[in-house]
Amino acid sequence: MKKFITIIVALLTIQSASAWSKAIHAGIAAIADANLTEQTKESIRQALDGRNIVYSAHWMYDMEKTKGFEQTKNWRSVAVAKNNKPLNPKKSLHHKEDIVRRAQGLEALAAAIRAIESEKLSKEELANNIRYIVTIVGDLHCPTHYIYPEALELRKMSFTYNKKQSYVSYWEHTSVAGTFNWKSNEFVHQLNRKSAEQIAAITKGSITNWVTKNAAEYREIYSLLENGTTFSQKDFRNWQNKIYPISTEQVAIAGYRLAAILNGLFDSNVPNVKIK
Amino acid sequence: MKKLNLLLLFAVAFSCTAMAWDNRGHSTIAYIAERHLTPRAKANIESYIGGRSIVYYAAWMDFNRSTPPMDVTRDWHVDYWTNEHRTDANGNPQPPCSVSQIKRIVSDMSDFRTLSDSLVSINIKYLVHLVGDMHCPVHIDFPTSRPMKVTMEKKPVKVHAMWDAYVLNSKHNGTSPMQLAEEFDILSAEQIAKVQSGHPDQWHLETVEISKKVISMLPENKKVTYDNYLNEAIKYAEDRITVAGYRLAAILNSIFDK
Amino acid sequence: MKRLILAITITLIAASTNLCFGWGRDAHAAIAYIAERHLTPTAKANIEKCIDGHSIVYYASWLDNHRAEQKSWGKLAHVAHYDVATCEPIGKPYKQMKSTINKLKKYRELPDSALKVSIYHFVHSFGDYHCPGHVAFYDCSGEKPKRLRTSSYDFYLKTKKTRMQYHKLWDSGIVQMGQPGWGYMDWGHALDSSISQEYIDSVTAGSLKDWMRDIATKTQKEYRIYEKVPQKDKDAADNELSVVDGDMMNEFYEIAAKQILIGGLRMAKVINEIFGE
Repeated sequence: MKKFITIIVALLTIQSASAWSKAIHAGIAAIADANLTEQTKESIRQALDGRNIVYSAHWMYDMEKTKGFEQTKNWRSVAVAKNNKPLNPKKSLHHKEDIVRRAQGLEALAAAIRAIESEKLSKEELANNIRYIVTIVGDLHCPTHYIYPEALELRKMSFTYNKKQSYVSYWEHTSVAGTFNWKSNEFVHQLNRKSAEQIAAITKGSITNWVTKNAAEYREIYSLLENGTTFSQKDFRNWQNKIYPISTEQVAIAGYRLAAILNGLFDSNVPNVKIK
Repeated sequence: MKKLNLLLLFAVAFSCTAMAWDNRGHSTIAYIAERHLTPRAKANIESYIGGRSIVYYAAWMDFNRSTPPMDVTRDWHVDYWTNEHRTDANGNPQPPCSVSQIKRIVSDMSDFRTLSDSLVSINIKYLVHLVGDMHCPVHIDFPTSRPMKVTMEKKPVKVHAMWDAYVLNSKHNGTSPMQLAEEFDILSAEQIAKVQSGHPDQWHLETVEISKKVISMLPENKKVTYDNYLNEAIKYAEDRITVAGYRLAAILNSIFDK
Repeated sequence: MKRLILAITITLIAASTNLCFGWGRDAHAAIAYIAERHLTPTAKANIEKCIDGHSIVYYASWLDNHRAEQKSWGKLAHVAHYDVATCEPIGKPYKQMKSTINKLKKYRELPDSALKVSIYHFVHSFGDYHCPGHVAFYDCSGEKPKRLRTSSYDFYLKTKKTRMQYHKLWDSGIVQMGQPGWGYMDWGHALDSSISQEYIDSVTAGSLKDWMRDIATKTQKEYRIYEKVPQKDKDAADNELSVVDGDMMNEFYEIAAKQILIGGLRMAKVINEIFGE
């Protein structure tokens, strides 16, 4: 019995590296869903057998072990150069570091968008490409999904609070959940509050512009922690208070941008978001 | 995969209790039902449960199954396969439990205004829960499936426990029941009417067939993965929850829309 | 079996510190969300303007999270004090809340930072005061009020293997145990579906003092949450501690549900009166 409980507690405290939690992916999709035009919603509903995009928010992860979907594991992050522009896949695909080679998120997103734009997809292909877009746009707003090849050591940063923890995992699992227990519809209630001007500013430019801008901003998160810090309970709470406004803001931005991409693709009255 | 392991461990922990759906599943069923109650039925129901939503009581029977006098309801959650009647201490065959309870309550409540408030209130709590339970595949207690175990992530787990605690949550553990209802409740009016037609006995037989199906779908080597079982099982779970919601609405409307 | 489930859950509560289990958060968010559901459109717009367009729910646990950042924030009370003989609120917690509400009444004149902290204090501590676990009784018959051993901080409980402060059970366990998998919107929806205006009027009648007296009286006479567990303190041996069982949790959970609704309705009343014009 004791051993059993210990195992559960241990498992809960293990911080494995993955991505935004399911709740965050669902939250991003729910914010996007709330910003889709009626025409987009209807087209997506038809493509997804009556479902909305929230239902598929985490789908790419759910499918990672399914035959034929193994390559999606490489579609979750993006590698950027020192000037924060995305690395050319010709370079990144031959990089000596595996983590850089696997950072093909932007390419996968672009491919999914182009595939939908081609209007030559079967029903299943269309549905899958919508789902890819939903998951990947979420991931491209998770700061730790930006790979800086010249500074890979940043990914090894850690701190101690009760036990040693990876900073990357903290961002992915706890940067929001450490402060809010929101479910997907609650992300909408809390974060879908931007004015039309603010949304226009967030969605301005191309996807590559967004990625470049994100890459520059996300470098800053590594200056929020002195590597190896040991926190007291009080210091840890105060430190988390600096993180959650940043992480929740990225969730909101991802939601608006996802809506912009989908509205561009499915509503003839909305201009497409350009890839480059 | 951390989440999978964790849920699996909870599943193992819960495996001796017949829980059918967990709180998230039951709450989603109640939400879906609520979306299809007539305004009059909803108002009548809520007047008996203190102005609360039926969602509040979706899993109430699970939380209150051990203490007298509620312990009499302990076995109401599970049904037996039609060919395998269980017998009571005197050797008399027992009918399917949740189905017979549902039928009894529906009949008792045909003129609910003649009953005491507390009886109506508790019958609402029973119906909200049992209609969910009777649609859960593993809550049909097959003699062959009862002890059946599978392996998930190298850990052994009972099939029943896997369904109770894991199948739905393996996809939806970041989503609240309110949102799940919105995502699941997508059938057209005609489709809903078709789902709601029939009788609890027929619905029970349908659950029996689906139970056989989800058991037969298990991989031969009993090593369950998303690819060979879960992705498909999740669809069944979602479908059963949605169907249960619509039928719960039909039952409640038939009693309270007057 | 039930014991086992309970043991696991309680162990998790006891073990969780930075984990995403802040169960106190759910209750606070639920109270603020129920309040929000009862705000007039004007009051909602006005108070949200003061907090950068956020919902009051966003700040429901701000005081818990930020209290260590500034001394003055740390001094704001989360637990209310009462005279055990009369259940009248006494001392700083009541004074602070009254002063905050009075400040909010002049919100148009307050500097931005003071206004924000007043709102954060109100939407959090007002919720805390509605939790029976945040009621502390004092003997006021002498010169100085003397705290009695009747607060949830004084008692310890256990499951099969874990000891825990009774307070932690109220702060962290009850709401989440009651409805696992729910968010605050589920709580709001479920508790506040079609309550009558009569009920709303009855629980929101009176002043802050009346409401606090009501909470203390209910805690002492109706909920009796301190009598329901053997009163053993930190130093008691393991075998003397009372075991949390499922029935106790069910009973406490129902109390919590009632208080969450009442707290939300009263919070709405205060905000509507102040920000509704």
